[in-house]
Amino acid sequence: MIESTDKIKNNSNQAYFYWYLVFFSNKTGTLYKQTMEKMNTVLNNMSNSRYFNDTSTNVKLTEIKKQLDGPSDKDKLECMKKLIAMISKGRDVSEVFPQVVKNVIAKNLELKKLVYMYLVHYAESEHESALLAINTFQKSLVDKSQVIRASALRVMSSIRVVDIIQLLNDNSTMVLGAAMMAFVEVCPDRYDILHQHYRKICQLLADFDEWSQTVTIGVLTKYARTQFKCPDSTINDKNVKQYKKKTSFYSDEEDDDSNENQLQSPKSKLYDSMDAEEIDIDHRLLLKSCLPLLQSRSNAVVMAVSSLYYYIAPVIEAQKVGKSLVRLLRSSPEVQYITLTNISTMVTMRPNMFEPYLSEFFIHSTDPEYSIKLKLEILTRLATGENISRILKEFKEYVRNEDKKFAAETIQAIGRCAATIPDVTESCTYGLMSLLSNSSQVVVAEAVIVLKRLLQLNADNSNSSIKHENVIMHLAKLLETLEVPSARASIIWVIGEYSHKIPMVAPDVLRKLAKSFADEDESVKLQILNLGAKLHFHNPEQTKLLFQYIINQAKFDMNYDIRDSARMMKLLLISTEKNPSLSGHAKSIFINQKPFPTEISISEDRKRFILGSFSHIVNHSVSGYQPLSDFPEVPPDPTVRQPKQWVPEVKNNIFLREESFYSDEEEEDEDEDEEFDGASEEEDDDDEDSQDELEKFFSDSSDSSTPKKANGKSNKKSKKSKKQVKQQEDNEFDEDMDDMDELFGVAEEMEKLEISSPTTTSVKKVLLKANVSQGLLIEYCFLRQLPEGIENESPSSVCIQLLLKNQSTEQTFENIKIGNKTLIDGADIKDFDEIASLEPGATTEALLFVTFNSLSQACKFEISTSIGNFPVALTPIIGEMVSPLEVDVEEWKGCFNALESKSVSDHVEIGEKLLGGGQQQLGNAVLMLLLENINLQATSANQNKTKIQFAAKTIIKSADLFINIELVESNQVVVTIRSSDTLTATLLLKKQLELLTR
Amino acid sequence: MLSSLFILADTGDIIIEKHWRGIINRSICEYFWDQKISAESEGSSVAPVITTPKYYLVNIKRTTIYFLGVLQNECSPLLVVDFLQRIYDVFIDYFGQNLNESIIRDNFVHVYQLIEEMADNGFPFTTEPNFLKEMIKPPNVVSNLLQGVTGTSNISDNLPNGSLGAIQWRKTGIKYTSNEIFFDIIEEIDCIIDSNGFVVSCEVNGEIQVNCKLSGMPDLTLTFNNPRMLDDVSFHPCVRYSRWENDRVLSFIPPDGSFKLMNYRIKGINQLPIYVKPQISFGEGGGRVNVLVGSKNTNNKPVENVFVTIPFPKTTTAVNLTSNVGGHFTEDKVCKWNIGKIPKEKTPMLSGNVVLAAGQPLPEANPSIMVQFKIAMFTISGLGVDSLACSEKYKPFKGVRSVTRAGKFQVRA
Repeated sequence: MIESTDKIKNNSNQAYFYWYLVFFSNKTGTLYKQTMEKMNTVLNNMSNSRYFNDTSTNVKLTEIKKQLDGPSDKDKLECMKKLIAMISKGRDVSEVFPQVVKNVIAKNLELKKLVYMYLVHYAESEHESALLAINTFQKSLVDKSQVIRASALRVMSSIRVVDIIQLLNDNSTMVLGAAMMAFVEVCPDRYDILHQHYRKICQLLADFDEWSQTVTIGVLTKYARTQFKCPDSTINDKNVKQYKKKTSFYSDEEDDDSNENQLQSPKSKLYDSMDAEEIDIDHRLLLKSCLPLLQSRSNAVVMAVSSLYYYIAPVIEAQKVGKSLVRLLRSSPEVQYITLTNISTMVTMRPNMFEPYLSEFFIHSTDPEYSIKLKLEILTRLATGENISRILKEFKEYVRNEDKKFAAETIQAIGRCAATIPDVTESCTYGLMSLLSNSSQVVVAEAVIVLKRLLQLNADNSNSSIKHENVIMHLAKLLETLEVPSARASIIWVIGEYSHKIPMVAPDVLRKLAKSFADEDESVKLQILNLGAKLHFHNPEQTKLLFQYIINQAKFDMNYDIRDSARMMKLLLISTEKNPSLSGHAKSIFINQKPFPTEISISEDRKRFILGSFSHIVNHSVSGYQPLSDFPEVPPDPTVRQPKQWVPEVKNNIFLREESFYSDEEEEDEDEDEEFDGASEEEDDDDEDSQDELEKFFSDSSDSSTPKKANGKSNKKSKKSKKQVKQQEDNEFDEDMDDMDELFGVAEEMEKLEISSPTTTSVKKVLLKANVSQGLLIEYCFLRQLPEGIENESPSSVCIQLLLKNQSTEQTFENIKIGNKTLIDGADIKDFDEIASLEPGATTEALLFVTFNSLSQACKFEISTSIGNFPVALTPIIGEMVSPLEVDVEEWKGCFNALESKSVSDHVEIGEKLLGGGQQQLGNAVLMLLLENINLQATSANQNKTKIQFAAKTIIKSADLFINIELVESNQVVVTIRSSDTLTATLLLKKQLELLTR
Repeated sequence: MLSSLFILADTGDIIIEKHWRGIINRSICEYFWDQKISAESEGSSVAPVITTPKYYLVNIKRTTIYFLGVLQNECSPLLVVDFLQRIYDVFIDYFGQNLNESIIRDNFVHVYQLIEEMADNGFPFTTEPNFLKEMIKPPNVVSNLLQGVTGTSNISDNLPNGSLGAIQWRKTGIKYTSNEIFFDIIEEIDCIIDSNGFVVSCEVNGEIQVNCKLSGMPDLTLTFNNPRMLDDVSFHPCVRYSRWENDRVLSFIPPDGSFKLMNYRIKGINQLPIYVKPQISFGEGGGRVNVLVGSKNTNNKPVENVFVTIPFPKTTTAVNLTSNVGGHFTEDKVCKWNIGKIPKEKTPMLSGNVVLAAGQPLPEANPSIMVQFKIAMFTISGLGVDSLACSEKYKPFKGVRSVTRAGKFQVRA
């Protein structure tokens, strides 16, 4: 045994070893002591890297299979850890896939995570088996915890199940963010799915986590380019500069501007004055909601917003992003590199974005090489007549740098500046000439090459201030000393090209070169031949013999290119009699107009890719890259994004897909219908399936207390006509009630109750905070009973009491009234009488009649005072969107049964707070709780208050609404609501469940 | 997003590999090593993004560890860099400041669990340290032992029950007996000074680090004495941006523990707290060196930890210097002069001469001197905290410290 312990220890398989020891120490007492010693060493060595060091040979997959099938969570966990360790070491453990899939239903969170991890790893190869797990994932998709919803969604997207995009309906930012990531992964071009969620996404964007923000902004950028029209069609990139003059960057006016509310006033003063063109309200919304994200701590988000502004904002607004991008340069060198790459492309298009930050691009001695190149390029792009002296001063500093590669790069940059800014061409040229005496060959060579380019650019410019003769003479002298071949070749080319300007010197240069011909580099030899040929035309008397001498040398050169050229020149220029037709054109072959050197920098080339994308950095199309489309000439129908009633919590979104639910609302709410059509478009084909699902849901919920078998039956039958199923359901429901009655011993008499809400107002909420309005606090509550003498003219409106309080110490608010209103269709606010003045410390009340015409959309309006206008929003509270309805017990029963088909129901466990009062008090407690929070009329109840019935009228649709609440067992409650206004019913159900579980 | 993640040691070992989308052979790292070696032989550092025939490699180097992300599809490169950085930050949070190869190996299980929790299918997932700590307990000796003996896991069974979503950076039900909050205002000066003593470029980058030990869900409001001078700011996600826009106050519910509240930039500062006057001239065979360092405009606050680095030209063969304050040594032709605290009574001076190799051309440029220093309880911008209001009932103990130090402080001689 000791032997084997040693062996295992050598394998450093400590985990196993440990269990091994424990096992034997129990059985063999004789070895106990030795075992203890071993154990000590093991404990000392016990670090977490034991799985890492595990040699996989010791782990048998069959054993793991057995344990995974076993009952112990702990064993399973251990197995999964081993499996994951094996995966990460590259071993194929896919054969245990079936066993692992089974564990997907595990309750243990850690186990679940590990199983998810394993599944994702093998999902691609074991697609069939992976589908087994999908049911569980789908169940997880409606889990209460958003963490589980989000992670299940991610797993599903890796198994590539497309139809989960409906989760975009979710209102948790965590889930929404995950849904957006899944969108990018699964179907990045299905913009039609986004329409309905566009506004919600924009508004919630700030609450996403940083990673989802980046991804979402990327999607929205592309979305906006397909949906909106170009924000400044009259302005194109070229004449941005003239616009720049109009508003100075970051002037104070902008600060004033930022005071206005983010979302509620889409038109801002600045832009009103700036561009007459109208920007679509949704387009503006996107820009507005992204702007604050420039202040994000995440580099990726800042980059994404900058890219969005660059592509879809009016050019003048896109200027704003410059400042934030410059900030990123302070981060790590890696971030600096990527940001600089992007800036260098932006600068080629819109240099004025970064002009104010010129000095940020000056090079520090500690900058890495890749940043230096980019910074130099940006600096040359930013150069203008005004700042060029500063830039050149910096460049002078860099040229002297000890790193000669850096110096050479700088010389190229100087050349570029000289070429683009005529004012400095002369001084740059002289500057470069002074470098010709530099001790470093690299520097001199670079200077020569740049000078050559400059000379060529200015050759035809008669106004050019450069004295070509001087420069060329200077260069010619350099031939004596300079050794770098490329530079020598350049100089010889220059002398040949402009030999007519230095007629005295050129033949002499040729003479010297003829002497050294044999020792020159190949590129230099070719240029010497060229020089000879050119001089042959300009000055044949002096050079003819020299040229022949050179050609003769070239004929015996090692390099075939040079031999070729020499032979060709001989035929064309010297032995002309053999080919008279060709040699007649010889001059036009050797002396002609050379095209100007053009230089396309890589940054300019990169502009074909979207800024901030990976393709942009690597400058080729990375797989999965989607180019940005151009703005459409005519934007597509903007109404697809029209407001709709999104239901605040759509856990039961299965309801929303059912058309019949909305069938009787069609005339009023066409938008709504459109929405749900849109959402269910892709499911149209399997409409039947979704109905099945729906019915399953119904039967699931309404007869929750019936045995599971019945449930299964009804599911099977669901393929029959819908009506049949409904009937069956009714029967079941009735049976259900009877069952209940039996349970309580007798068929119960329902006693009449006439209790309406014990409170007359809802909870107070704050409409306007004092610190926003410089002291004016406005609270509000819904009034259930109108004060005497006041009548509500419209039944569809609710009465809201405003409590105004001046909390400031010296400010007096005058002329308080309602200002601009931003309301959805059909909504209305009846203004209160203007309040003349409100002294410090004073309070007053006002009544407001509001027709919401929606259960979720807030009424937005402004409170106008002498101090200023403050935007506020009134949100409808579901509990106040009904009013009590008096009916007697029989009538209640009749109506309740009549509305069978419009029923929603669910059951929950009652929360601890309610149970606290004991079983007897439970009924009363439930009753009071509901009445307090929902404006209902209690109609009747049985003796023990285990069954309570309520009636109410919905405010928006004035439909009757009936609620039945039954307490089952000790802590279960079944809530059933029936009304033709199903939306209200659904939301009320939710609200009640919430209250009861509290 | 990321296909795989490798954590590499400077020595060439692969410490951790994690694959999200199929296994990528670890030979992919060869591309990285090739690039790294060839870049280093030229005296520069490896490019952050490397293209290979099939994959793209994004790397960041922190201490002696490389984090190498492998990806195949289009995605935001900054997102990748940010994510790698965040992984590093979380490791620091769990395993302490000096992350190295052996620490990662020792905490192998934690590393895997963290990576697993932080990314899902290659997408960043749970990255808030507070949130992570709820699920995975940071390692310590006792828990390691316990885990080894009893087999209990360091993953808690419960999901964090804190209010998720909007404020996922703070859990509920935090309790401290003494409620304290500390603010550290740290300002760094980045500047280039030319040989005549003129400022070529100068900016101040500040950050506010907070160590928060407050009970409950405190809603804090912080006001500055002079918020208008902040030129550009970036915030922790907890800060309400609209309040800043409207009122120039910071309103936030802080995460628990240490975090970075904000970064800011201030431009237009010309009064530097330190001056450096270098006189370096090279002649035939050698050169003379004379560097003076002194403090000014510091409100009588002492300048500490002053450290001057002078890289002499490559042709230097010998350096012979003396200083009146602090010690100095020359290593690899770079002279490091550790002054420490600048004394009141005399001005630190370093003088002497250097010998250049014979026959080599004279260096054209004088070296750029890098300076480091630190001034405690002083902000170069004058920024300070005016007041801090807390929504909770208790009165928290508040502490504000400030420090100004050199960032990239470069003086051209």
